[in-house]
Amino acid sequence: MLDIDNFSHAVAGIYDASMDIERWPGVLAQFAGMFGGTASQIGVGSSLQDIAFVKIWGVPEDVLAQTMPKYIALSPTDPRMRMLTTTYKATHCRQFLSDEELWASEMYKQALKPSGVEYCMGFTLPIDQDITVILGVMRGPHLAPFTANECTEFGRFAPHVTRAISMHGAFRRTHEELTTVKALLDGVPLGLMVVEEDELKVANRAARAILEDGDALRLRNGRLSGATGRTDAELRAAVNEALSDSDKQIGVTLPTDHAEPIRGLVRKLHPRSAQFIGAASESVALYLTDPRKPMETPEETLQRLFGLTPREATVVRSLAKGEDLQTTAAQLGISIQTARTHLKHIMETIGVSRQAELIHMVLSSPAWIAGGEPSP
Amino acid sequence: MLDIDDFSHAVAGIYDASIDVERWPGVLGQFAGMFGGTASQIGVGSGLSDIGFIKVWGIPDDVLVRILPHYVALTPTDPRQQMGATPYKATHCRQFVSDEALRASEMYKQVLGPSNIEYSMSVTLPADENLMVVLSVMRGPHLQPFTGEDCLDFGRFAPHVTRAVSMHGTFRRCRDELTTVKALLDGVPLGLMVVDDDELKVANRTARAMLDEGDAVRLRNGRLTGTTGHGDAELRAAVQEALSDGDKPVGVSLPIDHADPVRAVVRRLHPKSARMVGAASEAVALYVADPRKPIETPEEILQRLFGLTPREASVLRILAKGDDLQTAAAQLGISIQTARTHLKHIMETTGANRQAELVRMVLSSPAWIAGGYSSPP
Repeated sequence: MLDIDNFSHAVAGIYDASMDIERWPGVLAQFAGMFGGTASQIGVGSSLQDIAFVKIWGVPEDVLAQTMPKYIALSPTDPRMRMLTTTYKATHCRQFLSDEELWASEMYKQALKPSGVEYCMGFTLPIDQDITVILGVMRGPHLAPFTANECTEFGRFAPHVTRAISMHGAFRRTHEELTTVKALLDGVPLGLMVVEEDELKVANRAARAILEDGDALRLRNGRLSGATGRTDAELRAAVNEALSDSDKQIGVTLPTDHAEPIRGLVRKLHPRSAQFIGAASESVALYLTDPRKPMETPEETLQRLFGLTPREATVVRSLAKGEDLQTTAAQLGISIQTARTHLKHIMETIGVSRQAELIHMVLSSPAWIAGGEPSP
Repeated sequence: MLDIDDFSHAVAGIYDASIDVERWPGVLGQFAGMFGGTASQIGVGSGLSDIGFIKVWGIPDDVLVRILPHYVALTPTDPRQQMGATPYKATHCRQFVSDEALRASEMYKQVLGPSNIEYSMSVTLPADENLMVVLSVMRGPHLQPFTGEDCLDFGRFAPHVTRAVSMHGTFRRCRDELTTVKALLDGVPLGLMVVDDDELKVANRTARAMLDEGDAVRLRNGRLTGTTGHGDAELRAAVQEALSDGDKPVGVSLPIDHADPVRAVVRRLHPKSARMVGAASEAVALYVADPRKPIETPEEILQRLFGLTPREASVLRILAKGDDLQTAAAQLGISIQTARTHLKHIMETTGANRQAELVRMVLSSPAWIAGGYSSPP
């Protein structure tokens, strides 16, 4: 009879592994120990025929490297496959096949025998449409076969493995979505931050760069502050003003060591989901632009977005950086007359009639996004 | 002795409640059943004296409403306090307090007596740095006191409750951060999307509005497609190009009827964390601007960001849209001469010396983020 404390301990291990899949080998060792097995394994995949994640305990690495490819190749002809058609219930191999039948199989000859596996007990858990889990304990030929009683005991873990794997799925999906959304945020060359009671909760790459420069904003023990007393007061006033009226957006300028200040916009972020503990606290979003990192509009992107020739795109890029036509011509080593011809053609192509309109058109397109650095 | 199947069932309930706190009452019902209790409760807080989350099973709501304020107020004088002093180990009240001492206490007279609680057994669990969990089962005066063996069995749940509460914490922090980051993205008036194998994974508010409009890009069974055949081909080609060359952003314009095209930049997002099942797939980020929703820069924001007067900010707002001074003067009902004076002063204040430079300055400030924003419903 399964001891309740051993059971409890192994169940705890299963849930730990739901948060950290590297803990599966430890759990597998516990199973082997509890059921007198010489090896154990977990397989997770989209179906029985497609097990993508396998952890095995008790078979030496070098043996595994040799037998694994054969095991995978021979799986469809494995005479023990019948065990796995019963779901949620643990079964053992000798319920479905005789010693002779197993020994005659290629699976036995090429994979099981060389790895010292004679008897096995396992269960199959269809977790959801996409995930099937197989958990098994194996014994060597020097030991006794598994019994029906052992199957009952082993089956007690099935609901916990099911739960742990689906919890892992829920956690992983949220975590992956968070990673994705953060990567998307990092691609925007505009400083984006979320601050909750002075505490910096989120900062994209451009915001982190501003913090590293440290002449306008600073991070101390996770708390955001202005670099000088005056900047700090301005920032606090803007944050408080934004918090006091959720429909109001506050512009703020933060002086830097550079001629131009960092310009920011502060806006209240809307209340979050209810928490287990504590009231939903109030946070603000900060959107910042750094004058030292002017908006860049790569030529190739301009060509594609506006149907320009390479030369024309070079002219537009220079104008969008704030240069005039004279300077642009000089930098490109072309005459002002040629530059004018390019500009005329650019305006015709884009359908604008003045330089100011052209700049508006270019900077309100996403071309400047392409000017940001690629994500690391 | 605790039955292994009852134990297993209750443990499963504890982990279910770690994902969904609304399931705690069901779990508490199981505990009361297993230990012959008439009531049970879980409290989670930053300390024993600051329990923020309480779920109680077995006490009628109307009684609970009446006694809970007294319970909270009298907790510091509760003679059963010592029960909480040994973490991880379940204890019962009569280990620390006699019938007489308990009955003489205000806690008993005002709270326990009226809610029919005579005996209690409890375990205190420090779940992580700043989280304390107290789990208890209570019995009425018509029943027997709890025993040492009851405590031993009850204590077997302690490691699972600790684990479940800290799992809930990890999960909640991740989910809260996701909610926050999504709210931040929703505030950007530029369409932002992530597409993985045609499948739309993320879309901010602006992108969702574009998809609803559906004349440039469209969602079909969760898949992102260009609305016209030509647009779809262009979109696919741009995605392929962005995927084939690691870090190259690719510009693409998607034609729509009777208007300027919708312009987008496609860029590869970097491989995600390892998964238990399935290869990390390759996702791209799409940044999309809709020319029909012109960039707006509210005047109040322009005033604050560039140190302008309200009138100057009105002039600058119109110029930043690419319009000329004549148009600005007409729209504001002022003479061209007055508009020129404003412009001159704007240029002096900002240090710009050409209209095109003014446009650039405004559009490379965060003023446009404020445009067209309304707080979400």
